[in-house]
Amino acid sequence: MAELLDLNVNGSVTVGYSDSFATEEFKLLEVDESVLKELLNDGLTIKGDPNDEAVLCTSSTTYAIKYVSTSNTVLLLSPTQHSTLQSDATDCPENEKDCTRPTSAGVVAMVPGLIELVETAPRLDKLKVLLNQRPYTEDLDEEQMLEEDERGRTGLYTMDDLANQVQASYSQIKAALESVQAVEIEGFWRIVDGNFMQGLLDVILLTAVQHDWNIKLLQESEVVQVVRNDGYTPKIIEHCLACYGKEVETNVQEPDTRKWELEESKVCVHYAKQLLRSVPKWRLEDFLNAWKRNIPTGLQPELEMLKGEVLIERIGADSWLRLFSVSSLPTKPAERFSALFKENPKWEWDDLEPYLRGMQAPGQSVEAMLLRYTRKTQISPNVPAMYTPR
Amino acid sequence: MIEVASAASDMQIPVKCSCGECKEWGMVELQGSLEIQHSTSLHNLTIGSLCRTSTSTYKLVIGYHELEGTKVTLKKPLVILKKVKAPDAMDTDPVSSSDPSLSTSTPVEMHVVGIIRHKLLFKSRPKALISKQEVKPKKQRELPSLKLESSRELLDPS
Repeated sequence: MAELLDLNVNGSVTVGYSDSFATEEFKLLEVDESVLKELLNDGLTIKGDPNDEAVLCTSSTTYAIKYVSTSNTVLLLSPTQHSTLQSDATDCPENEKDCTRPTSAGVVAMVPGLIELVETAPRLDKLKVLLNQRPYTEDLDEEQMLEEDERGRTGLYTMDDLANQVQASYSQIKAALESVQAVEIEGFWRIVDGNFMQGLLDVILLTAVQHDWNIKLLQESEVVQVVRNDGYTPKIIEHCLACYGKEVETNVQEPDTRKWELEESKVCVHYAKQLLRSVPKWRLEDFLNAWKRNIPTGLQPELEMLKGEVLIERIGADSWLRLFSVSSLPTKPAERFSALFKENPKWEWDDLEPYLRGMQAPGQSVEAMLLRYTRKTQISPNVPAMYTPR
Repeated sequence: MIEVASAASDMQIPVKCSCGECKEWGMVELQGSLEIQHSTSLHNLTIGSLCRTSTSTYKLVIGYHELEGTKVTLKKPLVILKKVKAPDAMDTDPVSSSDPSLSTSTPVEMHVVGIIRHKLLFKSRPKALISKQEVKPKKQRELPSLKLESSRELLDPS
């Protein structure tokens, strides 16, 4: 504080407990300059249920809160408390010959430690739980939701509700909503039921064939106009186009019509999953034949597209293929590796790599995690290295 | 059971600055602890005398002990937070307001009341100013848990 730090050389102050000592509890929080700036300008948020470990969120980052205690005596001196001791400061210590003109400074609190922030992965598991309470299934559901009745809102969450209940920063929640392909409908964030979405994509692809549309250049307005006759709302049709496609640069001449290119790999994966849903395990050749048969003409399926979605096992002379999706795996590294080794005790790098995506571990490289959770063995330089549990 | 979203308990505590410009507070760190002799109240009790001996060194005299210290710039700033009742919550739940813990259902906010960027650190052993060795009755202070590490005394000036 100014009084202590700006003291003239050879100046002195009397330090004493102020009359408000220990009447208020103060906490010390250690912050980066960037976090400090955001705290002073916009404020931060501590989040957590009574049962959770609390986290502190900025607009972009989530921090774990670590309490560090000290055995030293730490005294806090408030700049507003310096004058209260003025009257008591009459006795200048006689042995301080070099100290002149004593003033006084008041100690308002003694703190036993401080709070440190450690960047941590956002705790998004609860987001999935909340969103899965009421996935969007059919448009009939919508009318029920819009009723004024309080029950109509059960299991539905606005962005504010989610920000309030999920231990992650606003932008991390936004990103997670995007990655689970949630859509905001009438103010509530919903994930769309997988089967419902598949059904809708089927309708869109069939309609495209019927009308001879180029699925790499779909006119949004056209698609919406035709497909809504099948009972889908424009909002959900647009969402489906966005999930399976990417927007094509809009022509400046006609800014109102958005155009979408359905992505080959996403559509192919959609059909592959459909096959695997009907039969969980396929001989590789049979699968490839069936896959090619099902896919609309003009699209070229590649096994490469299914990385992170299926596992291929070689049993004897045959290769077998089954569904094993990276999106179904936990995001915490320890849990992810344990799930992977439960599925398969040995992994080659090429097979393992797609399943390491999307792990939440700030400041940890993939290499560091491999060292920590796996053992790498290579019998000879000619064979690929194998990763086994540690 | 599914809870109604609108009735979900508020699990956020805003941390913000309400003062506009936060003043820098002073922080004095000593090794060990202060002990009080025959004093009932700490309020307005003098601890000792602090003298700046050069631009970066300080001397703190507590009773018969002299401590040498330095001004240290903290690697990261510290903010001083104070818990306050949320202004918009005054009329909602007055029942649990006596419970100061963070998990109380009364909405609270943490307000920044000051910033610390430097501390005066006294880490050396205290030097005795006089040779007289007194046998003093020691009484630990009723203050937050601090381990007794050295026998520095705080003398009542009276």
